[in-house]
Amino acid sequence: MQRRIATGIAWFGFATLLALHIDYWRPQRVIVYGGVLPEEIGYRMLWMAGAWILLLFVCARLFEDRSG
Amino acid sequence: MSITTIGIALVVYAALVLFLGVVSTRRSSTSPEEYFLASRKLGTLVLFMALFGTNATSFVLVGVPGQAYHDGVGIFGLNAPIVALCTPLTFLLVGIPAARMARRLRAVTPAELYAKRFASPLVGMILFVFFLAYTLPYMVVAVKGAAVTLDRVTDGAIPMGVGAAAVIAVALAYTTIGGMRATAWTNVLQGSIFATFLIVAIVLIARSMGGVENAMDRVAAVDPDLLRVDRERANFEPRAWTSWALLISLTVVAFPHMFVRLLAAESDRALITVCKLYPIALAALWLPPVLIGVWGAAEFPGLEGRESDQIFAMMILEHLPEILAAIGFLAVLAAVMSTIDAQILTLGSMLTRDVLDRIRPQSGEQEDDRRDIRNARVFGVVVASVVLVLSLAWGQSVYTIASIAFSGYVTLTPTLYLGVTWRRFNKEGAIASILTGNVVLALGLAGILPTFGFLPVFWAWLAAIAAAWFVTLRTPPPPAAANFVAFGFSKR
Repeated sequence: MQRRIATGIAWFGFATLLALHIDYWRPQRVIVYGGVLPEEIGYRMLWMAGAWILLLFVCARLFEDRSG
Repeated sequence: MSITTIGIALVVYAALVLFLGVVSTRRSSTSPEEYFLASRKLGTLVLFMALFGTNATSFVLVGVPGQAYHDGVGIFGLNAPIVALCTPLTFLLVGIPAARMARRLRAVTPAELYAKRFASPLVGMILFVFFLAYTLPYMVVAVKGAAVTLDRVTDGAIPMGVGAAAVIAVALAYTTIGGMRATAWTNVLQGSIFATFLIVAIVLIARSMGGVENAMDRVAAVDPDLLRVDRERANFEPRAWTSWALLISLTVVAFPHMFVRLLAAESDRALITVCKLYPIALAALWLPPVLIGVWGAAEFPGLEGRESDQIFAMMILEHLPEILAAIGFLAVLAAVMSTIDAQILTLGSMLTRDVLDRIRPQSGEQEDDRRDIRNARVFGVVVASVVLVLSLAWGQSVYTIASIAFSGYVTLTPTLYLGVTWRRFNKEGAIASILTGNVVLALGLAGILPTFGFLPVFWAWLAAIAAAWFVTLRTPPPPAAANFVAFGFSKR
């Protein structure tokens, strides 16, 4: 994959995650899934999983070891 | 908890970290680069634990449960996700080019790196002043957190002043003995203690409360809004949420004690691997303290203001057997010490190399090296003493003090980033950026400048960027020769 495309994907992923973090559109309800997982925490954990995937992509495609 | 149990736990813990400090002395005093940066040889595991341990402080273990007690699970969303993404990103974007540049320039401290990059001791001196100004309150946060917990678990038998002094004395001892290598290795131990404890504690507290479902039901019965993001609360109001996201995501890389650890990385690869692991570690680090704070609101309702800083200690005392509660106390100590050791070392090294070495003549390499290490140790004692006094005098909550310090660090990030990535960026731009950002921040915090619902740091950061760009493009570029030395063959 070309570096330019990889950079574009990284920026798109970052912007998407940012929009999903600043989530004023999301209705704030008191829902606790299975009685144990508040919706708010579940949503944030999913977001963090997405962030982790983005980081793995960025580390693999955009940063190389040049410390020699 | 009995004073005997606490005493034994404290002695065992202090002996362990001091042992690691002494073991590290076998290599630590040969050169300033070894003492301050462990010869830039921190491999992946030690680097990860050093960064993670330094990142986890009483802000997370005491301040966050205290704030979650009042504001609920939204505190998790406010902090953890954006930190988990942006902290590793800033390590990649700032840390990797900074570490490369520091190797080229043989710079040991963050301020020294930028002084050499801009061929301007003034830039280094200004950076040092602001690093010092924001690190002292952050150290106060750490020490206060430990002292509050110690006071609580011993039911006042060990008052805050004695607790704070004990924490500082132990951290100071192994730091001055072994330098960066000692703090990195003790961070491996400390990180293991509090990470393991947090996971065990949240399981045992849940079980003691009749299971997670029962704990959540009790919270819902006391205040259901604690289980959602209530946008009516000041912290979660959209503009406050946005500006806090900016603050908490950028501040970590600007901690000088974190920055200096990035410079100590053995290779780019070590740092890249650390960044891959960081989000998982941060999820595990943040979730238990938030749940403990929220469940604490059901268990101990009615705490006002900064009284809630004690909720972590109250919950472990209420729900865990005495020996585990003692380990819980050690977890707080470990988190605190793994941060203040790095802060003592970094401030000591900057005071030595960025201030003292600039104002008195050098006499010869080996003698200078020995003097630098000796001075850093003396400065470490001075810094620790100032922090002890401030921690007893400052009355704000842990969360509030940390917010002020974090805001200050964010104003430095444009200079830290542009300084290692933009060849055209010059010393005039750097100085303008730092000063403008901090003036705007001070005016905003004082209520003199309108902030339109955003936190003052939001405007301060924008002002710092604008000043960096505007002044740089209206003043001469840095000398080509200096740029060549700093950036090497890189085209950026």
